[in-house]
Amino acid sequence: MASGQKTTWMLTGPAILFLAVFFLVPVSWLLGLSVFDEGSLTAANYQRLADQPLYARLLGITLTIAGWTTLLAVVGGYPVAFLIARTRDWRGILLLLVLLPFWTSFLVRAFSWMVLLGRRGALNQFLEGAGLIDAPLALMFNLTGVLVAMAHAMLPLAVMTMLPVMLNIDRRLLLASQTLGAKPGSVFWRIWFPLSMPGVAAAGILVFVTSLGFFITPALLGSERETVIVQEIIFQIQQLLNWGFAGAIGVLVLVTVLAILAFYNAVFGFAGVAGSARQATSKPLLSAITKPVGNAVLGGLARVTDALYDALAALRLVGRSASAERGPGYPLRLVTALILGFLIVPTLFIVPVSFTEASFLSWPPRGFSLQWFGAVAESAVWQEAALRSVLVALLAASLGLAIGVPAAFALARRSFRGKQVLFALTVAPVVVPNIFIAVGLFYLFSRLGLTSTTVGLALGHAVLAIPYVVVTMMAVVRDYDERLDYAAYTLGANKLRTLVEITLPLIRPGLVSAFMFAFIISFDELTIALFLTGGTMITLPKKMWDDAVLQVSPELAAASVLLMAFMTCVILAAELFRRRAARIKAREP
Amino acid sequence: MSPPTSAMSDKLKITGLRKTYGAVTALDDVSLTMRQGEFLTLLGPSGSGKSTLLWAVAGLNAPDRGTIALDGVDVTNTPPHDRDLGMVFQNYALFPHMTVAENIAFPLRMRGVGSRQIDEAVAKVLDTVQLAHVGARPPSALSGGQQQRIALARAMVYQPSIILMDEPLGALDKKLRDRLQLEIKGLHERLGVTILYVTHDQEEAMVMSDRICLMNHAKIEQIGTPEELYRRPKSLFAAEFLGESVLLAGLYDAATSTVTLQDGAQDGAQNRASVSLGGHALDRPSGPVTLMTRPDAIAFVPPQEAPDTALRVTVTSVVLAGALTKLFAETASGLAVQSNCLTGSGAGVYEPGTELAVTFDPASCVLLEANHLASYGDG
Repeated sequence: MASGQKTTWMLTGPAILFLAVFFLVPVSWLLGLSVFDEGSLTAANYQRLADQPLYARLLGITLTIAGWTTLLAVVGGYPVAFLIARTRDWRGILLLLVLLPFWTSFLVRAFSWMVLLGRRGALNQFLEGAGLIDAPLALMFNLTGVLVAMAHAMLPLAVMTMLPVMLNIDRRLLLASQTLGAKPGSVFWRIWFPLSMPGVAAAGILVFVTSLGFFITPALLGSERETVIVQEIIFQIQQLLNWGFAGAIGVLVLVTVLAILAFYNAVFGFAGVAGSARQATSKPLLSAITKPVGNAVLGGLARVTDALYDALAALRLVGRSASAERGPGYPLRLVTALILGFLIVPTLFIVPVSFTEASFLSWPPRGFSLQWFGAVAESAVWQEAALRSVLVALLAASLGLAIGVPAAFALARRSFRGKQVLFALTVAPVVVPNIFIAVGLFYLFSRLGLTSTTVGLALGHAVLAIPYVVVTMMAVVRDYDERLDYAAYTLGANKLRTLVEITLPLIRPGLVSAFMFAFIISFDELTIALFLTGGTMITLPKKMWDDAVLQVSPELAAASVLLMAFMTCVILAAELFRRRAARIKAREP
Repeated sequence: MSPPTSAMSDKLKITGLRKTYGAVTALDDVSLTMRQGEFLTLLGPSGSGKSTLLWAVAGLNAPDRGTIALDGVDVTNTPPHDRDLGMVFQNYALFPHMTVAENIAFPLRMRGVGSRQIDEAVAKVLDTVQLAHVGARPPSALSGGQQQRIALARAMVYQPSIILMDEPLGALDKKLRDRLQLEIKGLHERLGVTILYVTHDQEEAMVMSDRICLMNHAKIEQIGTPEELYRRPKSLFAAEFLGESVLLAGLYDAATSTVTLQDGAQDGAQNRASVSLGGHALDRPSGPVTLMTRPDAIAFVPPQEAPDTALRVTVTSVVLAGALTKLFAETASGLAVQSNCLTGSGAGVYEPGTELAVTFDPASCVLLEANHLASYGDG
């Protein structure tokens, strides 16, 4: 038992230590700053927060934007996830079409929307050209622009969160319901939909929490009326150096997030976030109220859909056959195609404008020139930023793996006291808004002289990467058949050799995808970089942000296109690697 | 829908069914007729096409060719929900988001039955499967055997006239399986429902079925009562798949109705045995055959009690397998012969190493195609 405990400590120790120093300490420090003023307890910051209606209004705006974004992303993502889960032949391609925007920089996607939605943007010009409108529509610098771009930004996350739950739904349940007399509408609304609810709920909470801390899109596509609360925190620190008050606003955001999570847990439980569609154990009291209502609503939807199906079948618009094998019908394909179009096409608008001859962004782009690509390639700042980004991402991903993988092994395989607490600690950086971590780290690092250093930024990014590494690797380790290790022991291999020769080779695809995940998170990260970079120590997202705040120029567009091309190559390479690994796995007996 | 095409007493009529998955042929020209109230089992090794056939009947896959008729009505292109049949899936396929009672009520709700009748029907069928107390629980709170019974209850609550079962007992342990076999059999007899059952367990098929349809390589190998398949297999595959068999290569002489057994590499004189079949192997031309019989139709006797032409063997091992004691013996050239006798009967139990003669019950012998593995003459 003693040696078991020692092993547990060895596996979890680094994660506990690292997160304590670079996550718990800075976050608590910031909390402390908000209530202490020169050594004495004070409520002044919170008093101000409560007194000035501005902050309640900012929180209101933030919640409104996050709420609408969640609704749009989940409703739009559902048919896409549904189609990906239900089709076999097209799954790979469809998944790629979601993954590409998922990993395309938020900044790049926001720039594309600016090209598209501006007063003289592509959309307005097209509508005017077609004679549909007389004067340009106000599509940007208002709530419409923010919501469109936010929904676009969060849709892939919603799809990727719903998908595992849908893939876990046992296909035989659908077949069983058919043999029991359920028509297609009833199969969907009474069986599939309720079983997919944990995924919907998980997607809802993840998108909502992410949106709450998201400021890039509102800042670039919104007006003053769409200022979100995170922007105020940045303002308080960067312009006013008011740490205490920024901390208090941070606490307000954090408390809001925690309250929402607590509410979510009370209603849905956290089972769905882990991607399981198993027994939906809802709370008895709540289900006593919601279940009859839900059943009535779903029953109604089922009847309407069935009637529609019967009508279409009578008109021979849909096939009435032994339909279980047939894939999803064409209405769903059409809807999904439109949503995927919404996901892919707008981002492409950044490409043509990067080839303009003009020195400002305009639609349609004027002439054809490679001058802006030349400018980016020759610029020392862009080069420095690109190199720095790669370096920081490599460091952060390596660190994240070195700390996260052992912790994932312990969490997936061992039983020890405080396991729940450790899991909560490792995933907490996802829940706590990045801005809170960023400001806390800034404060801590400024004492340690780590601001504006590569190491400092990599440490910060590792904090963000660890949750993803842990969650990814826990799934991989759980899937791994531990009897293979036992077999190796019986065959004479000691623990280390078993790890090196059996376990690690078999989980390598998981390790690679965890590394990729961590790399991309760091590579695309702006919030922490906003505070921890400085002078020549600059990363790509920070450089793009700095430029965009002044003006979205053709040079920025060219840099965006290069970044997009690079990321696409990385993602395609990762996908190829994953497929090869899957093929090797399929060859196993 | 087409008008009735066959006699109403045919519950299910499958004609020339073919189904391929890419390059793999899962069903190859399969035809089968079931009468009302029959218990028919599709038996075969995995990949033989038995589940594909069952799923085609349920409408869960679309055959490439052929027709399926229920009660004389062609349903080949009817979606599953309009076929009015019940199906029990291998792992039960109970809806995890519904309670046991809601699961059972589901088919009734799909049929627009009033809620009071639903409650009554659910209570009644739960009573039938002896699980009246579990209605409010989620399926996951039940044991495997209980889930199986709930799946059965759900498939019969709306009284479909045919129930399909896809290896419904596959996930249960032996004891429970034995009990549920008898329960299902009992329900079948009480309710008079037609049951099409899939299993790879030959013992299960023998215990439960009125008829067994033995499948192999996407085709029907043989259809008949368990007795027929056991006593009169038509192929080596059928002989070996069902129960234990003794297979001996020989040369059949139609004139004398005698099989001369060839014991491989021996010089022949001392151990060239023959078996006289009386009139039991009619309609077969003279030539190489495989003589098939069952260990329970074989007796080992001391050599002096048998004729000179009897096959000589040496006992290699004696195994007590519950009610049966199995004697394994070999001929001089190493061919295996097995004899089963009732444990405790005391008859015919010998020590390993004993030399004995084999006596056959001619009525239990069947002549099958010559086996290339034990080929006649050239060893």
